[in-house]
Amino acid sequence: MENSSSVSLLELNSQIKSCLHKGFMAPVWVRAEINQYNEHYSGHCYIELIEKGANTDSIQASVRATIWASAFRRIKAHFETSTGQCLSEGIKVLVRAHVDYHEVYGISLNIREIDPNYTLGDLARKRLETMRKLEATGIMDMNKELPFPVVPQRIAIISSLSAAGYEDFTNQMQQNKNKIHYYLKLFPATMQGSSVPLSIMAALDKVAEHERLFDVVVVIRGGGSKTDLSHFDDFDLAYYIAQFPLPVITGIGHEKDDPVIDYVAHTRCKTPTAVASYLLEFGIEFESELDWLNEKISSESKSLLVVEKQRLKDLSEGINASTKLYMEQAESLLREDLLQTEAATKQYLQQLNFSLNRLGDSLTLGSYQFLNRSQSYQEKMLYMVESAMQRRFEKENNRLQVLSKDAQFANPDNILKKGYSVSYYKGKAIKDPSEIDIGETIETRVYKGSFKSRLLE
Amino acid sequence: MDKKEISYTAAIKEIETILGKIENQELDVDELAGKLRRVTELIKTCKSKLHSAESEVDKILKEIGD
Repeated sequence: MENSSSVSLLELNSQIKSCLHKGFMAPVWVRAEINQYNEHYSGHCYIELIEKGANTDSIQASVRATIWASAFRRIKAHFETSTGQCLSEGIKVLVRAHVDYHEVYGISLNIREIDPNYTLGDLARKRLETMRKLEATGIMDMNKELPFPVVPQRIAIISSLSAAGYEDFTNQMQQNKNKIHYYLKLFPATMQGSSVPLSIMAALDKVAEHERLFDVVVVIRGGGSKTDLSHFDDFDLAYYIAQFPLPVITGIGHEKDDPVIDYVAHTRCKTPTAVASYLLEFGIEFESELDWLNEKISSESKSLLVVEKQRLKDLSEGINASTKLYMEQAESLLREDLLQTEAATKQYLQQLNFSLNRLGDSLTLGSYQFLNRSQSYQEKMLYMVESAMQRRFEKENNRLQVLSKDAQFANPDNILKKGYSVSYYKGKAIKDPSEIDIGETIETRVYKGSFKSRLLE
Repeated sequence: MDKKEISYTAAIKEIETILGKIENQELDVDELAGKLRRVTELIKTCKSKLHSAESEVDKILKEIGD
Protein backbone atom coordinates (compact mmCIF):
# COMPACT_ATOMS: atom_id res chain seq x y z
CA MET A 1 0.00 0.00 0.00
CA GLU A 2 1.32 3.37 -0.94
CA ASN A 3 0.20 6.67 0.60
CA SER A 4 1.69 10.01 1.31
CA SER A 5 2.21 9.27 4.96
CA SER A 6 4.65 6.50 4.26
CA VAL A 7 8.25 6.68 3.04
CA SER A 8 10.45 4.14 1.45
CA LEU A 9 13.33 2.77 3.52
CA LEU A 10 15.77 4.53 1.31
CA GLU A 11 13.86 7.76 1.80
CA LEU A 12 13.91 7.17 5.58
CA ASN A 13 17.56 6.40 5.61
CA SER A 14 18.27 9.38 3.45
CA GLN A 15 16.35 11.57 5.88
CA ILE A 16 18.27 10.04 8.81
CA LYS A 17 21.50 10.66 6.99
CA SER A 18 20.58 14.25 6.32
CA CYS A 19 19.51 14.81 9.97
CA LEU A 20 22.67 13.24 11.32
CA HIS A 21 24.87 15.29 9.07
CA LYS A 22 23.06 18.43 10.15
CA GLY A 23 23.27 17.43 13.81
CA PHE A 24 26.92 16.33 13.70
CA MET A 25 28.46 18.76 11.28
CA ALA A 26 31.72 18.84 13.18
CA PRO A 27 33.62 15.80 14.37
CA VAL A 28 33.07 14.78 18.01
CA TRP A 29 35.44 13.46 20.65
CA VAL A 30 34.14 10.12 21.88
CA ARG A 31 35.39 7.97 24.76
CA ALA A 32 34.91 4.27 24.18
CA GLU A 33 36.48 0.87 24.45
CA ILE A 34 37.56 -1.12 21.47
CA ASN A 35 35.55 -4.32 21.51
CA GLN A 36 36.40 -5.65 18.10
CA TYR A 37 39.27 -4.69 15.95
CA ASN A 38 39.99 -5.71 12.39
CA GLU A 39 42.61 -4.42 10.04
CA HIS A 40 41.33 -5.16 6.55
CA TYR A 41 43.74 -6.12 3.79
CA SER A 42 42.43 -3.13 1.86
CA GLY A 43 44.16 -0.96 4.44
CA HIS A 44 40.95 0.15 6.15
CA CYS A 45 40.36 -0.63 9.78
CA TYR A 46 37.03 -1.80 11.14
CA ILE A 47 36.36 -1.44 14.79
CA GLU A 48 33.50 -2.02 17.19
CA LEU A 49 33.40 0.54 19.97
CA ILE A 50 31.48 -0.13 23.13
CA GLU A 51 30.85 1.32 26.51
CA LYS A 52 30.51 -0.89 29.54
CA GLY A 53 28.70 -0.17 32.76
CA ALA A 54 30.79 1.42 35.49
CA ASN A 55 31.05 -1.71 37.63
CA THR A 56 29.78 -4.34 35.28
CA ASP A 57 30.93 -5.92 32.05
CA SER A 58 27.51 -5.46 30.41
CA ILE A 59 27.62 -3.49 27.23
CA GLN A 60 25.55 -0.36 27.49
CA ALA A 61 26.35 1.21 24.16
CA SER A 62 27.94 0.10 20.92
CA VAL A 63 28.79 1.51 17.52
CA ARG A 64 30.74 0.51 14.47
CA ALA A 65 33.69 2.61 13.50
CA THR A 66 36.06 2.76 10.60
CA ILE A 67 39.41 4.28 9.93
CA TRP A 68 39.98 4.66 6.27
CA ALA A 69 43.23 3.52 4.86
CA SER A 70 44.32 7.06 4.05
CA ALA A 71 44.21 8.01 7.74
CA PHE A 72 44.82 4.66 9.35
CA ARG A 73 48.55 4.40 8.70
CA ARG A 74 49.19 7.80 10.29
CA ILE A 75 46.83 7.21 13.22
CA LYS A 76 48.17 3.78 14.01
CA ALA A 77 51.81 4.86 13.88
CA HIS A 78 51.19 7.86 16.07
CA PHE A 79 49.20 5.85 18.57
CA GLU A 80 51.70 3.04 18.82
CA THR A 81 54.77 5.20 19.12
CA SER A 82 53.05 7.31 21.73
CA THR A 83 51.59 4.52 23.84
CA GLY A 84 54.08 1.78 23.09
CA GLN A 85 51.30 -0.54 22.31
CA CYS A 86 48.99 -1.59 19.53
CA LEU A 87 45.52 -0.57 18.77
CA SER A 88 43.66 -3.62 19.86
CA GLU A 89 40.64 -5.03 21.58
CA GLY A 90 40.10 -4.17 25.20
CA ILE A 91 41.76 -0.78 25.30
CA LYS A 92 40.01 2.44 25.93
CA VAL A 93 40.36 5.15 23.37
CA LEU A 94 39.46 8.73 22.89
CA VAL A 95 38.64 9.22 19.22
CA ARG A 96 37.75 12.17 17.15
CA ALA A 97 35.18 11.01 14.64
CA HIS A 98 32.62 12.06 12.13
CA VAL A 99 29.25 10.53 12.64
CA ASP A 100 28.56 8.85 9.34
CA TYR A 101 25.49 7.31 8.07
CA HIS A 102 25.13 5.06 5.08
CA GLU A 103 21.79 4.02 3.73
CA VAL A 104 22.87 0.39 3.46
CA TYR A 105 25.31 0.00 6.32
CA GLY A 106 23.77 2.31 8.84
CA ILE A 107 25.53 4.48 11.37
CA SER A 108 29.26 4.38 11.95
CA LEU A 109 32.00 6.60 13.25
CA ASN A 110 34.63 7.65 10.86
CA ILE A 111 37.66 8.02 13.05
CA ARG A 112 40.01 10.82 12.12
CA GLU A 113 42.20 10.90 15.18
CA ILE A 114 42.97 8.91 18.32
CA ASP A 115 44.39 10.64 21.38
CA PRO A 116 47.06 8.35 22.81
CA ASN A 117 47.18 10.22 26.12
CA TYR A 118 43.72 9.09 27.00
CA THR A 119 44.64 5.45 26.48
CA LEU A 120 47.87 5.93 28.33
CA GLY A 121 46.08 7.50 31.21
CA ASP A 122 43.51 4.78 31.29
CA LEU A 123 46.09 2.03 31.14
CA ALA A 124 48.15 3.75 33.79
CA ARG A 125 45.15 4.09 36.02
CA LYS A 126 44.20 0.48 35.51
CA ARG A 127 47.77 -0.63 36.10
CA LEU A 128 47.99 1.47 39.17
CA GLU A 129 44.82 -0.07 40.50
CA THR A 130 46.10 -3.57 39.85
CA MET A 131 49.45 -2.78 41.40
CA ARG A 132 47.86 -1.42 44.54
CA LYS A 133 45.70 -4.47 44.79
CA LEU A 134 48.71 -6.74 44.37
CA GLU A 135 50.73 -4.84 46.89
CA ALA A 136 47.91 -5.24 49.34
CA THR A 137 48.17 -9.00 49.00
CA GLY A 138 51.81 -8.89 50.08
CA ILE A 139 52.96 -11.34 47.43
CA MET A 140 54.71 -8.97 45.05
CA ASP A 141 58.18 -10.27 45.87
CA MET A 142 57.39 -13.94 46.34
CA ASN A 143 58.73 -15.08 43.00
CA LYS A 144 61.76 -12.81 43.30
CA GLU A 145 62.65 -14.49 46.55
CA LEU A 146 62.92 -17.94 45.00
CA PRO A 147 66.49 -19.20 44.82
CA PHE A 148 67.77 -18.89 41.28
CA PRO A 149 69.57 -21.92 39.84
CA VAL A 150 73.32 -21.69 39.26
CA VAL A 151 72.73 -22.60 35.65
CA PRO A 152 69.13 -22.33 34.39
CA GLN A 153 69.45 -25.17 31.97
CA ARG A 154 65.98 -26.66 31.77
CA ILE A 155 63.62 -24.03 30.59
CA ALA A 156 59.85 -24.11 30.32
CA ILE A 157 58.76 -21.63 27.69
CA ILE A 158 55.35 -20.04 27.73
CA SER A 159 54.74 -18.49 24.37
CA SER A 160 53.02 -19.16 21.12
CA LEU A 161 54.63 -21.18 18.39
CA SER A 162 53.77 -18.52 15.88
CA ALA A 163 55.38 -15.77 17.86
CA ALA A 164 58.49 -14.41 16.24
CA GLY A 165 60.03 -13.91 19.64
CA TYR A 166 59.75 -17.61 20.41
CA GLU A 167 61.89 -18.57 17.49
CA ASP A 168 64.43 -15.88 18.26
CA PHE A 169 64.62 -17.18 21.78
CA THR A 170 65.06 -20.84 20.94
CA ASN A 171 67.61 -20.10 18.23
CA GLN A 172 69.65 -17.98 20.53
CA MET A 173 69.56 -20.58 23.28
CA GLN A 174 70.39 -23.52 21.08
CA GLN A 175 73.09 -21.83 19.06
CA ASN A 176 74.90 -20.33 22.00
CA LYS A 177 78.59 -19.80 21.44
CA ASN A 178 79.58 -21.66 24.56
CA LYS A 179 77.83 -24.78 23.31
CA ILE A 180 75.96 -25.27 26.54
CA HIS A 181 73.11 -27.67 26.20
CA TYR A 182 69.69 -26.30 27.09
CA TYR A 183 66.54 -28.29 27.50
CA LEU A 184 63.69 -26.24 26.07
CA LYS A 185 60.03 -27.14 26.32
CA LEU A 186 57.27 -25.01 24.93
CA PHE A 187 53.98 -24.75 26.75
CA PRO A 188 51.84 -23.00 24.17
CA ALA A 189 49.64 -20.08 25.18
CA THR A 190 47.80 -17.30 23.45
CA MET A 191 49.86 -14.17 23.64
CA GLN A 192 47.37 -11.82 22.09
CA GLY A 193 43.91 -10.66 23.02
CA SER A 194 41.78 -10.92 26.04
CA SER A 195 42.35 -14.65 26.47
CA VAL A 196 45.99 -13.99 27.35
CA PRO A 197 45.64 -14.24 31.14
CA LEU A 198 43.65 -17.47 31.20
CA SER A 199 45.77 -19.07 28.50
CA ILE A 200 49.02 -18.25 30.25
CA MET A 201 47.68 -19.48 33.58
CA ALA A 202 46.64 -22.78 31.98
CA ALA A 203 50.15 -23.18 30.54
CA LEU A 204 51.70 -22.36 33.91
CA ASP A 205 49.49 -25.03 35.48
CA LYS A 206 51.01 -27.59 33.14
CA VAL A 207 54.52 -26.45 33.99
CA ALA A 208 53.70 -26.69 37.69
CA GLU A 209 52.70 -30.32 37.17
CA HIS A 210 56.29 -31.01 36.07
CA GLU A 211 57.94 -28.51 38.35
CA ARG A 212 60.89 -30.78 39.17
CA LEU A 213 61.84 -31.07 35.53
CA PHE A 214 62.51 -27.37 35.14
CA ASP A 215 64.84 -24.75 36.48
CA VAL A 216 62.95 -21.69 35.30
CA VAL A 217 59.92 -20.53 33.31
CA VAL A 218 60.07 -17.84 30.68
CA VAL A 219 57.05 -15.93 29.42
CA ILE A 220 57.95 -14.46 26.06
CA ARG A 221 56.17 -12.70 23.33
CA GLY A 222 57.51 -11.65 19.99
CA GLY A 223 58.68 -8.25 19.03
CA GLY A 224 57.21 -8.10 15.53
CA SER A 225 53.59 -7.23 15.95
CA LYS A 226 52.78 -4.98 18.82
CA THR A 227 49.59 -6.13 20.33
CA ASP A 228 48.11 -4.78 23.45
CA LEU A 229 49.91 -5.16 26.69
CA SER A 230 46.97 -4.49 28.90
CA HIS A 231 46.26 -8.21 29.30
CA PHE A 232 49.65 -8.57 30.89
CA ASP A 233 48.45 -6.13 33.50
CA ASP A 234 45.84 -8.63 34.56
CA PHE A 235 45.54 -8.96 38.30
CA ASP A 236 44.82 -12.69 38.35
CA LEU A 237 47.75 -13.47 36.07
CA ALA A 238 50.08 -11.34 38.14
CA TYR A 239 48.79 -12.94 41.32
CA TYR A 240 49.42 -16.41 39.88
CA ILE A 241 52.91 -15.65 38.62
CA ALA A 242 53.97 -14.10 41.93
CA GLN A 243 53.22 -17.35 43.70
CA PHE A 244 54.59 -19.67 41.05
CA PRO A 245 57.04 -22.23 42.52
CA LEU A 246 59.68 -21.68 39.83
CA PRO A 247 61.41 -18.41 38.96
CA VAL A 248 59.53 -16.67 36.14
CA ILE A 249 61.39 -14.53 33.63
CA THR A 250 59.39 -12.25 31.38
CA GLY A 251 60.18 -10.96 27.95
CA ILE A 252 56.96 -9.43 26.78
CA GLY A 253 58.37 -6.91 24.37
CA HIS A 254 57.29 -3.41 25.16
CA GLU A 255 58.57 0.09 24.96
CA LYS A 256 56.75 2.26 27.45
CA ASP A 257 55.28 1.10 30.71
CA ASP A 258 56.19 -2.29 32.00
CA PRO A 259 53.31 -4.72 32.17
CA VAL A 260 52.25 -5.60 35.70
CA ILE A 261 53.48 -9.17 35.47
CA ASP A 262 56.99 -7.75 35.04
CA TYR A 263 56.76 -6.45 38.57
CA VAL A 264 55.93 -9.80 40.10
CA ALA A 265 58.22 -11.90 37.92
CA HIS A 266 61.60 -13.04 39.25
CA THR A 267 63.35 -11.15 36.47
CA ARG A 268 62.03 -8.99 33.71
CA CYS A 269 63.60 -8.42 30.36
CA LYS A 270 62.51 -6.24 27.49
CA THR A 271 62.42 -8.87 24.79
CA PRO A 272 62.73 -12.64 24.30
CA THR A 273 66.25 -12.07 22.97
CA ALA A 274 67.11 -10.23 26.15
CA VAL A 275 65.73 -13.17 28.16
CA ALA A 276 67.96 -15.54 26.21
CA SER A 277 71.02 -13.36 26.77
CA TYR A 278 70.19 -13.12 30.45
CA LEU A 279 69.83 -16.88 30.82
CA LEU A 280 72.92 -17.65 28.76
CA GLU A 281 74.98 -15.44 31.01
CA PHE A 282 74.62 -17.87 33.90
CA GLY A 283 76.05 -20.80 31.98
CA ILE A 284 78.87 -18.65 30.62
CA GLU A 285 79.61 -17.30 34.06
CA PHE A 286 79.46 -20.72 35.65
CA GLU A 287 81.79 -22.19 33.11
CA SER A 288 84.26 -19.36 33.37
CA GLU A 289 84.08 -19.70 37.13
CA LEU A 290 84.94 -23.37 36.73
CA ASP A 291 87.84 -22.44 34.47
CA TRP A 292 88.96 -19.72 36.82
CA LEU A 293 88.81 -22.06 39.79
CA ASN A 294 90.69 -24.65 37.82
CA GLU A 295 93.42 -22.20 36.91
CA LYS A 296 93.49 -20.68 40.35
CA ILE A 297 93.77 -24.07 41.97
CA SER A 298 96.51 -25.21 39.65
CA SER A 299 98.49 -21.99 40.15
CA GLU A 300 97.91 -22.05 43.90
CA SER A 301 98.96 -25.68 43.98
CA LYS A 302 102.06 -24.80 42.08
CA SER A 303 102.92 -22.04 44.46
CA LEU A 304 102.12 -24.33 47.35
CA LEU A 305 104.55 -26.83 45.90
CA VAL A 306 107.11 -24.09 45.41
CA VAL A 307 106.65 -23.04 49.02
CA GLU A 308 106.95 -26.64 50.15
CA LYS A 309 109.97 -27.14 47.99
CA GLN A 310 111.56 -24.05 49.44
CA ARG A 311 110.66 -25.27 52.88
CA LEU A 312 112.27 -28.61 52.13
CA LYS A 313 115.26 -26.80 50.74
CA ASP A 314 115.42 -24.60 53.79
CA LEU A 315 115.01 -27.61 55.96
CA SER A 316 117.70 -29.53 54.16
CA GLU A 317 119.94 -26.51 54.24
CA GLY A 318 119.12 -26.16 57.87
CA ILE A 319 119.91 -29.79 58.30
CA ASN A 320 123.13 -29.34 56.40
CA ALA A 321 124.01 -26.32 58.44
CA SER A 322 123.10 -27.97 61.67
CA THR A 323 124.83 -31.13 60.54
CA LYS A 324 127.88 -29.09 59.78
CA LEU A 325 127.62 -27.36 63.09
CA TYR A 326 127.06 -30.64 64.79
CA MET A 327 129.96 -32.17 62.98
CA GLU A 328 132.13 -29.26 63.91
CA GLN A 329 131.01 -29.48 67.45
CA ALA A 330 131.52 -33.18 67.42
CA GLU A 331 134.89 -32.73 65.86
CA SER A 332 135.96 -30.15 68.37
CA LEU A 333 134.57 -32.33 71.10
CA LEU A 334 136.50 -35.21 69.68
CA ARG A 335 139.56 -33.08 69.44
CA GLU A 336 139.09 -32.00 72.98
CA ASP A 337 138.53 -35.58 73.94
CA LEU A 338 141.57 -36.55 72.09
CA LEU A 339 143.58 -33.86 73.75
CA GLN A 340 142.18 -34.83 77.05
CA THR A 341 142.85 -38.43 76.30
CA GLU A 342 146.31 -37.58 75.21
CA ALA A 343 146.86 -35.58 78.31
CA ALA A 344 145.26 -38.26 80.36
CA THR A 345 147.31 -40.87 78.64
CA LYS A 346 150.38 -38.84 79.14
CA GLN A 347 149.45 -38.32 82.69
CA TYR A 348 148.59 -41.93 83.01
CA LEU A 349 151.79 -42.88 81.41
CA GLN A 350 153.60 -40.54 83.66
CA GLN A 351 151.75 -41.95 86.53
CA LEU A 352 152.44 -45.37 85.24
CA ASN A 353 156.00 -44.48 84.71
CA PHE A 354 156.18 -43.00 88.09
CA SER A 355 154.51 -46.04 89.50
CA LEU A 356 156.82 -48.22 87.60
CA ASN A 357 159.73 -46.25 88.80
CA ARG A 358 158.42 -46.49 92.24
CA LEU A 359 157.73 -50.10 91.70
CA GLY A 360 161.17 -50.42 90.25
CA ASP A 361 162.61 -48.67 93.21
CA SER A 362 160.65 -50.74 95.56
CA LEU A 363 161.53 -53.78 93.53
CA THR A 364 165.20 -52.93 93.76
CA LEU A 365 164.85 -52.29 97.36
CA GLY A 366 162.84 -55.46 97.69
CA SER A 367 165.39 -57.35 95.69
CA TYR A 368 168.06 -56.07 97.87
CA GLN A 369 166.13 -56.99 100.84
CA PHE A 370 165.29 -60.25 99.22
CA LEU A 371 168.80 -60.79 98.25
CA ASN A 372 169.95 -59.79 101.61
CA ARG A 373 167.52 -62.06 103.11
CA SER A 374 168.46 -64.94 100.82
CA GLN A 375 172.15 -64.35 101.44
CA SER A 376 171.76 -64.63 105.11
CA TYR A 377 169.60 -67.61 104.55
CA GLN A 378 172.24 -69.16 102.37
CA GLU A 379 174.84 -68.42 104.92
CA LYS A 380 172.73 -69.90 107.55
CA MET A 381 172.08 -72.89 105.40
CA LEU A 382 175.74 -73.19 104.61
CA TYR A 383 176.58 -73.00 108.20
CA MET A 384 173.98 -75.54 108.98
CA VAL A 385 175.24 -77.80 106.18
CA GLU A 386 178.75 -77.26 107.24
CA SER A 387 178.09 -78.01 110.79
CA ALA A 388 175.97 -81.01 109.83
CA MET A 389 178.69 -82.19 107.56
CA GLN A 390 181.21 -81.58 110.26
CA ARG A 391 179.26 -83.65 112.66
CA ARG A 392 178.79 -86.35 110.07
CA PHE A 393 182.40 -86.18 109.24
CA GLU A 394 183.40 -86.59 112.83
CA LYS A 395 180.99 -89.40 113.20
CA GLU A 396 182.23 -91.13 110.11
CA ASN A 397 185.76 -90.49 111.23
CA ASN A 398 185.07 -92.16 114.51
CA ARG A 399 183.52 -95.04 112.77
CA LEU A 400 186.42 -95.22 110.39
CA GLN A 401 188.80 -95.39 113.33
CA VAL A 402 186.75 -98.20 114.76
CA LEU A 403 186.55 -99.84 111.43
CA SER A 404 190.23 -99.48 110.77
CA LYS A 405 190.90 -101.24 114.05
CA ASP A 406 188.59 -103.99 112.90
CA ALA A 407 190.17 -103.93 109.49
CA GLN A 408 193.56 -104.34 111.11
CA PHE A 409 192.24 -107.48 112.52
CA ALA A 410 190.62 -108.59 109.26
CA ASN A 411 193.56 -107.74 106.99
CA PRO A 412 194.62 -110.95 105.14
CA ASP A 413 198.25 -109.97 105.67
CA ASN A 414 197.66 -110.12 109.36
CA ILE A 415 196.08 -113.49 108.94
CA LEU A 416 198.75 -114.55 106.45
CA LYS A 417 201.28 -113.51 108.97
CA LYS A 418 199.83 -116.04 111.24
CA GLY A 419 200.52 -118.57 108.61
CA TYR A 420 197.25 -118.75 106.82
CA SER A 421 197.24 -118.77 103.04
CA VAL A 422 194.77 -118.11 100.36
CA SER A 423 194.58 -120.04 97.11
CA TYR A 424 193.12 -118.54 94.00
CA TYR A 425 191.84 -120.26 91.03
CA LYS A 426 191.31 -118.15 88.09
CA GLY A 427 191.55 -115.07 90.35
CA LYS A 428 189.07 -116.23 92.85
CA ALA A 429 189.71 -117.41 96.32
CA ILE A 430 189.06 -121.04 96.44
CA LYS A 431 186.57 -122.05 98.99
CA ASP A 432 185.63 -125.46 97.57
CA PRO A 433 188.32 -127.67 96.03
CA SER A 434 185.69 -129.51 93.93
CA GLU A 435 185.45 -126.47 91.80
CA ILE A 436 188.89 -127.12 90.50
CA ASP A 437 189.63 -129.69 87.88
CA ILE A 438 192.62 -131.96 88.49
CA GLY A 439 195.75 -130.84 86.78
CA GLU A 440 194.77 -127.23 86.89
CA THR A 441 197.05 -124.54 88.23
CA ILE A 442 196.22 -122.57 91.31
CA GLU A 443 197.98 -119.66 92.91
CA THR A 444 198.50 -119.56 96.57
CA ARG A 445 199.25 -116.54 98.42
CA VAL A 446 201.10 -116.44 101.66
CA TYR A 447 202.30 -113.72 103.89
CA LYS A 448 205.60 -113.33 102.10
CA GLY A 449 204.61 -113.94 98.51
CA SER A 450 202.85 -116.44 96.44
CA PHE A 451 203.34 -119.60 94.51
CA LYS A 452 201.77 -121.73 91.94
CA SER A 453 200.83 -125.27 92.21
CA ARG A 454 199.09 -127.99 90.21
CA LEU A 455 196.31 -129.91 91.64
CA LEU A 456 197.10 -133.50 91.90
CA GLU A 457 194.23 -134.75 93.74
CA MET B 1 65.96 -30.06 39.34
CA ASP B 2 66.99 -30.03 42.95
CA LYS B 3 69.45 -32.83 42.50
CA LYS B 4 71.19 -31.22 39.59
CA GLU B 5 71.31 -27.77 41.09
CA ILE B 6 72.66 -29.07 44.35
CA SER B 7 75.38 -30.82 42.44
CA TYR B 8 76.39 -27.64 40.52
CA THR B 9 76.26 -25.68 43.74
CA ALA B 10 77.88 -28.44 45.75
CA ALA B 11 80.60 -28.84 43.15
CA ILE B 12 81.47 -25.15 43.25
CA LYS B 13 81.34 -25.14 47.02
CA GLU B 14 83.62 -28.15 47.28
CA ILE B 15 86.07 -26.71 44.78
CA GLU B 16 86.09 -23.39 46.62
CA THR B 17 86.71 -25.15 49.91
CA ILE B 18 89.67 -26.97 48.42
CA LEU B 19 90.96 -23.75 46.89
CA GLY B 20 90.66 -22.02 50.26
CA LYS B 21 92.67 -24.75 51.89
CA ILE B 22 95.35 -24.55 49.25
CA GLU B 23 95.50 -20.76 49.52
CA ASN B 24 95.75 -20.85 53.29
CA GLN B 25 98.28 -23.64 53.06
CA GLU B 26 96.09 -25.78 55.25
CA LEU B 27 96.49 -28.64 52.88
CA ASP B 28 99.18 -31.18 53.40
CA VAL B 29 101.27 -31.75 50.32
CA ASP B 30 100.43 -35.42 50.60
CA GLU B 31 96.72 -34.59 50.33
CA LEU B 32 97.22 -32.23 47.42
CA ALA B 33 97.32 -34.79 44.65
CA GLY B 34 94.09 -36.38 45.84
CA LYS B 35 92.31 -33.04 46.13
CA LEU B 36 93.49 -31.96 42.71
CA ARG B 37 92.14 -35.18 41.29
CA ARG B 38 88.82 -34.47 42.99
CA VAL B 39 88.71 -30.94 41.56
CA THR B 40 89.42 -32.22 38.08
CA GLU B 41 86.68 -34.77 38.49
CA LEU B 42 84.16 -32.19 39.71
CA ILE B 43 84.98 -29.79 36.89
CA LYS B 44 84.73 -32.57 34.38
CA THR B 45 81.33 -33.62 35.72
CA CYS B 46 80.03 -30.05 35.64
CA LYS B 47 81.32 -29.44 32.14
CA SER B 48 79.85 -32.64 30.86
CA LYS B 49 76.52 -31.67 32.42
CA LEU B 50 76.74 -28.28 30.77
CA HIS B 51 77.60 -29.46 27.32
CA SER B 52 76.10 -32.84 26.72
CA ALA B 53 72.45 -33.64 26.45
CA GLU B 54 71.01 -36.13 28.85
CA SER B 55 68.83 -38.23 26.63
CA GLU B 56 66.69 -39.15 29.60
CA VAL B 57 65.72 -35.52 30.21
CA ASP B 58 65.10 -34.94 26.53
CA LYS B 59 62.86 -37.98 26.42
CA ILE B 60 60.79 -36.95 29.43
CA LEU B 61 60.39 -33.41 28.13
CA LYS B 62 59.25 -34.72 24.80
CA GLU B 63 56.66 -36.91 26.44
CA ILE B 64 55.08 -34.02 28.34
CA GLY B 65 51.88 -32.91 26.71
CA ASP B 66 52.27 -35.35 23.81
